[in-house]
Amino acid sequence: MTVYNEKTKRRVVPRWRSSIVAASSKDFQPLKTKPGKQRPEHILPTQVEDFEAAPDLGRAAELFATASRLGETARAKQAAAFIRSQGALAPSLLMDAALSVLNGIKPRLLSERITQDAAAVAHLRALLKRRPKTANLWVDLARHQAALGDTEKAAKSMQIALALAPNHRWVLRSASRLLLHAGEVEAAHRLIARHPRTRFDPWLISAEIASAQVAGKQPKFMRQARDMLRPQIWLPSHVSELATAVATVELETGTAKNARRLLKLALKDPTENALAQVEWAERDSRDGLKVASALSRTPDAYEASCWVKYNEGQLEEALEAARQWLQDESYATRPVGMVCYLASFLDDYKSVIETANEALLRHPDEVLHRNNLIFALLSQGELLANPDQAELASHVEFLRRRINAKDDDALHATANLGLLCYRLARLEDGRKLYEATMDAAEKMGNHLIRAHAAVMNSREALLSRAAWSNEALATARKLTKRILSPGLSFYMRKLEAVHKDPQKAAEILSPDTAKQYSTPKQFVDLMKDLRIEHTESGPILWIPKHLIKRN
Amino acid sequence: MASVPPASKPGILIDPHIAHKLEGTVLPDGWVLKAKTRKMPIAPEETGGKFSVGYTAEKDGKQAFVKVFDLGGALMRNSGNIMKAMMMLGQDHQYECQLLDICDAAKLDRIVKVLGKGQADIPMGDHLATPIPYIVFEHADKDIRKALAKTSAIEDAWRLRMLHQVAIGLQQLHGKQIAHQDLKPSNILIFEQDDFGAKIADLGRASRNDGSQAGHDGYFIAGDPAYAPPEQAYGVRAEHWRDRRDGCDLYHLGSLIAFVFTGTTPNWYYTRLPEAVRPVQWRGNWAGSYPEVVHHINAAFAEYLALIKPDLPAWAADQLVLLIEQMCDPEYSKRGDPDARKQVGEPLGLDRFISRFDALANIAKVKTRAA
Repeated sequence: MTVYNEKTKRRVVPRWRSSIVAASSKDFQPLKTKPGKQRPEHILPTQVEDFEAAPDLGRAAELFATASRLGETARAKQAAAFIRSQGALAPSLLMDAALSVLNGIKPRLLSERITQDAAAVAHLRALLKRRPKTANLWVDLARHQAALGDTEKAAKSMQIALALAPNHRWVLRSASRLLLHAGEVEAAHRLIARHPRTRFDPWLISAEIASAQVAGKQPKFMRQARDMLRPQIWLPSHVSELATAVATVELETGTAKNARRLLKLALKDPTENALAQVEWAERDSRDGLKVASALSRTPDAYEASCWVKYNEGQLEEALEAARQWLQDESYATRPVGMVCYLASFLDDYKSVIETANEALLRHPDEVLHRNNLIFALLSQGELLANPDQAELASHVEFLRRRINAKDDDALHATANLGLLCYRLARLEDGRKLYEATMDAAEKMGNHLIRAHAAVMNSREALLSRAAWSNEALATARKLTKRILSPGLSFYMRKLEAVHKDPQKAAEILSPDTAKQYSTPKQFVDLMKDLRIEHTESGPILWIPKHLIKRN
Repeated sequence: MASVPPASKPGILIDPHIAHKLEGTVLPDGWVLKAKTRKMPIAPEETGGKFSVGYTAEKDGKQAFVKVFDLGGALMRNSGNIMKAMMMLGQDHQYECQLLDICDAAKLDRIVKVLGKGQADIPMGDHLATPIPYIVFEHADKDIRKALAKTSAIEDAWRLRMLHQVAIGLQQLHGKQIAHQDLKPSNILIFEQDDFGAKIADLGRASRNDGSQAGHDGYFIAGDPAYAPPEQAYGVRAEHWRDRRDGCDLYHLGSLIAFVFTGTTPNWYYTRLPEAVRPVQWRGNWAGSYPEVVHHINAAFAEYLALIKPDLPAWAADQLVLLIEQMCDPEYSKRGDPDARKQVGEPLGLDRFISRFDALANIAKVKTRAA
């Protein structure tokens, strides 16, 4: 089985995006100043007259640049058409830009067009050779190096960026994020906590609080944070992450009422990171904070969108959002885990294998990715059909080591071994291993993994037509009802269908039929009308008239 | 043909469009205005907030370009405040004439020559006249925009020689403490007679480092905003004249290299940056400081330099990229020849650039012969 702890704690650690994407994000914006006035320009008519009186490439190039800059598309196209007509006489860069405009494509920066990490590293290295003192390029290089799994080189690149722009908020937050990614949690906290700019900057304080929580330390700037969260001190966009960071602390210390107030404040103009945090907080409390409506106003909110869709039972849409999240944070482990987790519910093992393999290239020692890969390979069946057993042997050896190591992932490995036994027709062994996983999970109080193991045991029992398939299904039914997991509920609907019609098992357990088992959207929409009011005497649930059944 | 009455006419009457109706007028020094060079008036933003109309002119079979200062336009812009409009126009005319006199006295041969200047009082009826200041310039065959077309060895050699001459013109101005501040392609005129080459035109936005004040000195951007160096677009006023004024000229010269070979400039590429980090002047909404955003400009600049290389003559590409890089450095305190910048007074090193242009132009000439 794939494992993703849906209830795991989430911190508002800074997002680390490419400099071009970050440029448009709220945490890149200055805190207080207002943009200056534009000096009016009326040069376009002059250039049009010049060009029309004596058209040549130089005048066309000038008109093209001005019209493009001023958003005068018709004029830009007029000049672009002339440039195109000049064929080989026109310089290639100008010609490319002209053709883009004529084809309705917005010209983009070169770096926006490079999506592969290795290609991006080569591109950035070439740029840095020419402009070695450009902090942005070093941060971007570090990001791609981290995505390729080369954390050490990434750290070196980031050190250079920090030396070039030691007070730059985005550089500081990115550096802190890299240190967290590398597991250097103390250093991540120290970097932000000791920086003289932090106490005056809500974005840095939120990063300080988050990294302190990850490091298990007391946040240093809580008093300043609370001061900054007083009404009308800062624009809501600048304190959205800070509000969620403080709210997260409040939730952990049991002051849920304050936390709720802060989460509401964060939703006034949230970053996508703040939105994901509110969604996380909302996942358990279901306070009616209207995360879904804020999603439409927040671009790039892939993580939050993924969870909202998941909680609505729309697993295909959730997987799509998770893929975007992974693209956005290609260096991170969580989105990889989420893609594999969701694709497994959809029985889309091809996606799991591709994603896990790609992630393993970057982080070969990441046990989560390896366990997910083994689960998908076994579920898909090709691994056992392969006459060369070397690959299978290596995976079995990995499972053995993980079970013996008794680390956090031992349950995952045990369950995967159970799956292997089922697929090798050693049904009794398979059942015992799944039951062992369930027992161990129960002792640990991890009801999600317990239910997950029960569901997988049920699936294998049904597919192998084991004598205990009814019993296994009943156990899975019972355990999934106790927990709130849209993914497991979705999968149970599939298993019920397999139980009813075992002949159609292959069809039911395939990505093509996923829609049939998703939560009906109509139901989701109706449930959105529920309202929760928090009063002194506790929460009141308001149910609208149209949802009340009258006999 | 109307003749100009003596300047001692007593009354003044302003026709707001008079500057646009002067075809056929004979100026006091005998030049006959033939036709407007543009149908529309030159936009004030294009002339540093000044108002002017261009005419072709003729005298004794010789051609010229006449810049006529447009009092009517200035008056309309100044809400009918005739005294203020006349004063400003007079100051602008006088300031430009002073700079041109300096150039003339010093025989700056890479600056477009003045053939005459003065004031024509255009009769508006009995005892009434509108004063029209004007400057007559030598007539060019074309401007450097004509030079842009993909490259043969001959054209490369010619382009490099033109750039060399522009750099000399700039050094001539800087030597007289004058910063041009509007060195865009249309202000680089080409004189084909006797193969004379390039000259710098239009000192309408120039400033002089002698304590005198030009009307446009208060603007962040003195010249055409489309060609303004990034720090000016972001509203930065560099502390030193060298960085604020001469540095601006050097940025324009670097942009000119890029333009004549690629039809683009660094500013053209910067408009691809996200709106959030572009200055208002480039249709963005950045409200922070320049040091916080300059890393973005630097990164885009590095990309731009990589992108233009294939459009440059292969044999000179590395050197031309280096020239553009040093002349257009977004960090204005580093703009210029790095070795010169290390000297006392941190000069931009224009003389070194001239030598480098000269060397490139000579190599190109040899290559042309070989071809």
